[in-house]
Amino acid sequence: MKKKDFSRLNFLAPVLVFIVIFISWETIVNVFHIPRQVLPSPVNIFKSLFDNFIPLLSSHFLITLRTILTGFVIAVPTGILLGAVLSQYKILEKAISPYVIILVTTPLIVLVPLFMLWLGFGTNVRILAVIAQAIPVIMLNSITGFNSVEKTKLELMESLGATKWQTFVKVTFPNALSHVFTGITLGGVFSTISVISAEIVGGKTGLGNRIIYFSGFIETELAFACILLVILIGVTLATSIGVVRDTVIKWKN
Amino acid sequence: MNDTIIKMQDVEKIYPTKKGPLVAVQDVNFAINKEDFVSLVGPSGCGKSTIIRILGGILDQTRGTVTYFDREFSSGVKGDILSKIGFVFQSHNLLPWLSIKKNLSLPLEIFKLSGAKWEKRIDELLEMVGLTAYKNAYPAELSSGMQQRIGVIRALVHDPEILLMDEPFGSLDSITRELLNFELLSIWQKTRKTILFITHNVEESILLSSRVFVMATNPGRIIEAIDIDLPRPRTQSISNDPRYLEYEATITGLIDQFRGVDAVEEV
Ligand SMILES: Nc1ncnc2c1ncn2[C@@H]1O[C@H](COP(=O)(O)OP(=O)(O)OP(=O)(O)O)[C@@H](O)[C@H]1O
Ligand SMILES: [Mg+2]
Repeated sequence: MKKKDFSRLNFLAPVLVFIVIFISWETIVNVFHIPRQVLPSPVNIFKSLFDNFIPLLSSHFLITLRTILTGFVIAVPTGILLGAVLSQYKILEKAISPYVIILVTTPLIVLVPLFMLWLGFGTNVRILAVIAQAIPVIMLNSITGFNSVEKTKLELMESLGATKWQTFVKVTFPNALSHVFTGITLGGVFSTISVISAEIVGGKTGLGNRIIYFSGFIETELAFACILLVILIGVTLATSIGVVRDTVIKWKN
Repeated sequence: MNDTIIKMQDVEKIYPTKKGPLVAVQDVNFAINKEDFVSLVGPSGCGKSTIIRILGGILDQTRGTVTYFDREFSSGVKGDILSKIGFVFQSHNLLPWLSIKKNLSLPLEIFKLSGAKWEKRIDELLEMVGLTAYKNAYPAELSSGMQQRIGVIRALVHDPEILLMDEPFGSLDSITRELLNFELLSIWQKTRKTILFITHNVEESILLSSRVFVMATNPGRIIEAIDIDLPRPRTQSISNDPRYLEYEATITGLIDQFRGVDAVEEV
């Protein structure tokens, strides 16, 4: 019973915040007569979103979504696999980690123009951007997870004469799962950010491109509508990952 | 016929440390007979865990040999002999991501023992410790006493002849600890396993054992093996037996004598 009350609260709290922001925004825009080109009211943004979604936005929305998901689906297993391999071979990990950190800390936006120089403006470049950005976070978090096994758990497997593979499957991997999911969640966020960045830098399609495009024509409401769609993608992705995590990790430590 | 089933000969373990090699135990020699209940007592850091880990295949000795039955190991115990051993850790050491049932079937999986007979054994062991209702629970849902009971029966699930226990009840409150000690005695009496039990509680060692090995530090070694000749089944009232008090005085005396003057009493 108690647990249920809590989950309702967990759900209600952000909704409440949303309502507060929505109402204050709407009030401020109306009371101060802020011009709609500068800051449109939320009601108008939603209206513009519903009116224009099918004719103007849906194709770009789908392109962006497909790019994110494609990159993500490639990045997740690759990142986990690389993390698993590197954690088992310390020398490899030591050799590669500095470069991975460089890759993570370099703003993607400086790499995308280079990628485009070499590969053109198509979606492949964007998928590459997602992969370049998401794999390292997933990998680094996975490595942390694979390395965080308690010594006594490994000793248990030794006392049973387990093989390295059995130990990995029974102990190291499940032990790493919560870290792996942290990596996947961050990977999802990074994927979304990097696709939008790449679309802003070049090309003629995708929500990122449309944000720039509509802003250029002072169609601020449409630009905001695109931002809303990006948020929708990001939030849905993060929520879905959370649901998968909670079904996989049923135990408490 | 010789019924020695565990033997250590001239075993030495040296740990490489930052300050150089550390001799944890040296010249360890003993033999344990079938169905013995041997306790290993000694001050903290004398190398009790080192010895039992070598026996359990977790550590490799630096020198000397370990013999199980007629098989001699000069560089670490490994292979199918491990299926004849059950190891109980100081912490319950259950895997939090597996249900109690899955935790108990882990040794069966690793030792490739499958079939209804072994499934049934899991149920029997759960029943023996009164935890049948928790078969599908996760370890986090159990109290620490229950977790430790599962830790003990996990070591029994593949029906090993030998049980190695490294301070198995050391982290429990004294009431639960006493309860589990008596449970262990009844398990031993029923199943006739050969047990090596580590504790630094002298009273516990006398209550449980047929023999007590006393250890000293610097370097870690066994200084005395004492036969405990007290009637069984043993109950709390054993501590009134004059021979019990004698054993206690002897063992405590030995430990103190080898501990040196500046040592602090430990609980
Ligand atoms: N992995 C290790 N590396 C280096 N030194 C170690 C290691 N394990 C144990 N030692 C050292 O070896 C000695 C014996 O340790 P051991 O754990 O066997 O003692 P113990 O008798 O089990 O002590 P306690 O009663 O506290 O559990 C100690 O001095 C300890 O510091
Ligand atoms: Mg110890």
